[in-house]
Amino acid sequence: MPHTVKRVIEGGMYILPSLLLFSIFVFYPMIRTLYLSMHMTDFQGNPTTYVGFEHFVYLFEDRNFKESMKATFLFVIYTVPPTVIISLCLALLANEKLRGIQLFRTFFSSTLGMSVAASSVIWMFMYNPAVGVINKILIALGGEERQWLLNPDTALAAVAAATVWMNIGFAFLILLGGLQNIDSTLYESAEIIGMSRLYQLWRITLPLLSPTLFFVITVSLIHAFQTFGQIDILTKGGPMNTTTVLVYSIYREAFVNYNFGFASAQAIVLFFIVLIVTIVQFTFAERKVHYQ
Amino acid sequence: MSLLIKKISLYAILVICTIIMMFPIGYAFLISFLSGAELLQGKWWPTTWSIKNYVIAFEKVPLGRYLWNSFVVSFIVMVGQLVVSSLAAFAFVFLRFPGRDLLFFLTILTMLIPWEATVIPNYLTVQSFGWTNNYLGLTIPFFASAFGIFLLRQHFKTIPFELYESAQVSGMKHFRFFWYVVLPLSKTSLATLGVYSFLTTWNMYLWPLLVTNDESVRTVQIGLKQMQTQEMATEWGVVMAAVMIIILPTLILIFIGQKQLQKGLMQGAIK
Amino acid sequence: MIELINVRKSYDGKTFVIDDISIQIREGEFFVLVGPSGCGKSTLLRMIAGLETITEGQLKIAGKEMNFAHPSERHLSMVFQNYALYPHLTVEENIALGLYGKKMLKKEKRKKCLEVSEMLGLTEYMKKKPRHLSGGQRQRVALARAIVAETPICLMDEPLSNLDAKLRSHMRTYIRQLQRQLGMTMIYVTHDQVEAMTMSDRMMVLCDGRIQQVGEPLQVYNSPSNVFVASFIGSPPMNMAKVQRLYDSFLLQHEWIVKIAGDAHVPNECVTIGVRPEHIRLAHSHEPHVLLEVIHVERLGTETLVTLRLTEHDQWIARWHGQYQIEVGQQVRIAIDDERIIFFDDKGRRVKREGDSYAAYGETSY
Repeated sequence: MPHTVKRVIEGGMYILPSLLLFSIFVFYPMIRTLYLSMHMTDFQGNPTTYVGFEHFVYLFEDRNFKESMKATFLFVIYTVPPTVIISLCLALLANEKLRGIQLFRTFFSSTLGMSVAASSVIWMFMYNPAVGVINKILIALGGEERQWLLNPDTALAAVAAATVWMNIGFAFLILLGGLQNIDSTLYESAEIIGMSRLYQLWRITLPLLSPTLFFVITVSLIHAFQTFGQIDILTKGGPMNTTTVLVYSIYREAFVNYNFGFASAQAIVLFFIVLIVTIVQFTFAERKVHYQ
Repeated sequence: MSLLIKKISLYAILVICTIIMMFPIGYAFLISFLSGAELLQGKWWPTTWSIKNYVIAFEKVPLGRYLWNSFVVSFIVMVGQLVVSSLAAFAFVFLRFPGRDLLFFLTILTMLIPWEATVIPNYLTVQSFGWTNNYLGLTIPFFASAFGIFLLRQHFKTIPFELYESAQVSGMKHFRFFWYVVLPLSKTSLATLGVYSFLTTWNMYLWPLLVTNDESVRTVQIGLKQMQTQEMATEWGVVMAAVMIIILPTLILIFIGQKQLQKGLMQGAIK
Repeated sequence: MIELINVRKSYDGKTFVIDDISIQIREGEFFVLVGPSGCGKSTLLRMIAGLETITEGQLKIAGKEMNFAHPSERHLSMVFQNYALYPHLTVEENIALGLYGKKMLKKEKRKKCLEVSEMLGLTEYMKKKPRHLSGGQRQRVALARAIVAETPICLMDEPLSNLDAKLRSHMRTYIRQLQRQLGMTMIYVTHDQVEAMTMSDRMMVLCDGRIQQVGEPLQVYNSPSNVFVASFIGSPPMNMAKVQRLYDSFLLQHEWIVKIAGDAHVPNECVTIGVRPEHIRLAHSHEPHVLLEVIHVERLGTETLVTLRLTEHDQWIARWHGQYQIEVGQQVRIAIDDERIIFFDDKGRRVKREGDSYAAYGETSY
């Protein structure tokens, strides 16, 4: 028995730092968020009165929150499919055996090193109505000047386009890795029986890439639900709340309006969305996806 | 012949994709050499390659200070993550004790909780610790990382367990085995995690926005946002110069460590 | 018929991994490419398959130049070392892929697959995925996929190297019988000289991308064209020793003199001699002999391997049929029949004896 105790203590020592930090900065705040979401708070974030689920009830009546949810889901639809499809195309292209291909791979993954702030500032300038390159090209092609980030019809799509660009680097790198993991003799065998490249893509590549593809989709989804930086820099949630995605809404509620309780309720919504996506990933990945 | 045509067209597509992908960065690079007047005239190719904008960027805002802060914060988080994650990963792979699986389950659980969902209490916690406007508040919350633990655990598992058993037989202490055998054998994974944590910390946005409110510890990303709000319209060249300075360290990291990073990300994430 | 004419392969334009290979492989022949790892045998096979380009020279299949033909136009099938089974497809679907692109009714295709799977004993696994099969079963699926298309040529790249020893020896016989039964031309790559010896009609021994020898198994075994072939083919390998010539005798490492009797002349160029383990024998009572010390004995039941100290640094291995009571440290009287000795020159090439001709292969009849 003392031997077991000794082993527990020794093992615990190695894990203690992680456990302590996780407790303070992950588990405690998660519970605290839930607690705060059921309370009214003062400006210091101290709970004042218990309100039960009233915040949540109010959330689903609140027009702002509805708009925010709409913006969030639209943003996810605008960003995730294009990111995955473009990255997949780039990865397929960069998986060809060619001289100097490594250089192209590096270029395609370069946005992984771009911070959200720097990327957003660049895109902000590109969207600039007067001097930005996008309007210049548009005018050169016979279009007219547009206020991309100030027009409620285009603002969210504009932010999404910038986001797709930012996220391609990561998705590309993971998908390329997935492609490189596919045994090359499978393609050689297909060449010998005369399978066309397109059919190879459909019959070999996509099924065998499906675990990676699924992982990239999940990560991109979660990532999209957590978007904040580009909104803060490019639109500040405007115009007319069309770009107030969930995390930006949480931020504004908590750190601009000091309404911590209400913001916490929204944070709980975020938690559940991410949870659902993750659970879907786990169950789906187990069943539907081919592992090698 | 058709093979040659195929090759040429492949290269053509690759080059076009590269141009599109790299366009925003190249564009920012060009703009960073333009003066305000040139910009208003609608120019985009600099007439003179003057580094004036870069000099102004350092003069107008304490960019040097911000860069230093970002570097310090990223470095501390990198070291902290390496230490904390490798210790935990070691225990999860090599040590057998009751409760280990529960602890591992808790580690997995943290992956289900998005940082943004806990940001409010975390902000209040850090504030109550007196860690706002302080390197401590910017770094310590990020020392423990489930991703880091998984990545290293995955690699530690490839170390033959016989090595551990033979060390046990020869009476080597656990920490000695960790320090002299496991860590040296895992250099590449440690490097991958190091690069990754440096990169993500350098690029962090929401948290430093919340916990810094003066230039003493403010990181370069927040500095850039501030600069962009203040300068607007007239001094875009200067802003772009700052952008170029900020992205340079991380781009270099990516260019050097791309292959390694790819392998590491796959390992930590998928298997 | 497959014909290679001065075929070369280079990746960097300077060094050749396949250098000047010319060979004709006959229809219905079981042809083995054998050599140590990295000798270029797989590359050569992949060049025939069309998976690697041919830098120089010509490849003809059935009389037509095929250098630039797409792999699928060469009418061949291939079995890979790792079997290259599609993990997401069932056994049946994997086999059916062998018929991909064939103008055939679906019903016919299914019938073909069933026939082949019956032949290979796979019928009960048809709905399973490869990962649920054992190594031997996967191997048979790979074979089935290659066979089902009934291509005139089949290429195999070390197909048995992932199997355990027992199964491997079973599959050797099995593949050989299958090839005979179907009458296909087989090109088979292996690093295992036992497979080359036991399976091939003819083999090509490769080293560093060059042909060392082409011939029937026993021809290669009995008359290796050089030191490399001599030591590569046969296990334990041929015993070698550097020698000096003294008139009609050898001086071995300054210690041991071998006198060549009769009319067997010692070629002038000879610097190395080789003797197969089974040709080192115990001397009869009044025969000239040398005394050698036994330093190790391996008793295999049907035969005995005896390691002998030849000189300070050299050891020879003798292989004797039957069981012997010999102890380590014992001195034994050893004799070698002169005609069993093979001579090599300073470049390692075998030196032909006078009167050496194909008649010498008559030895095979003993």
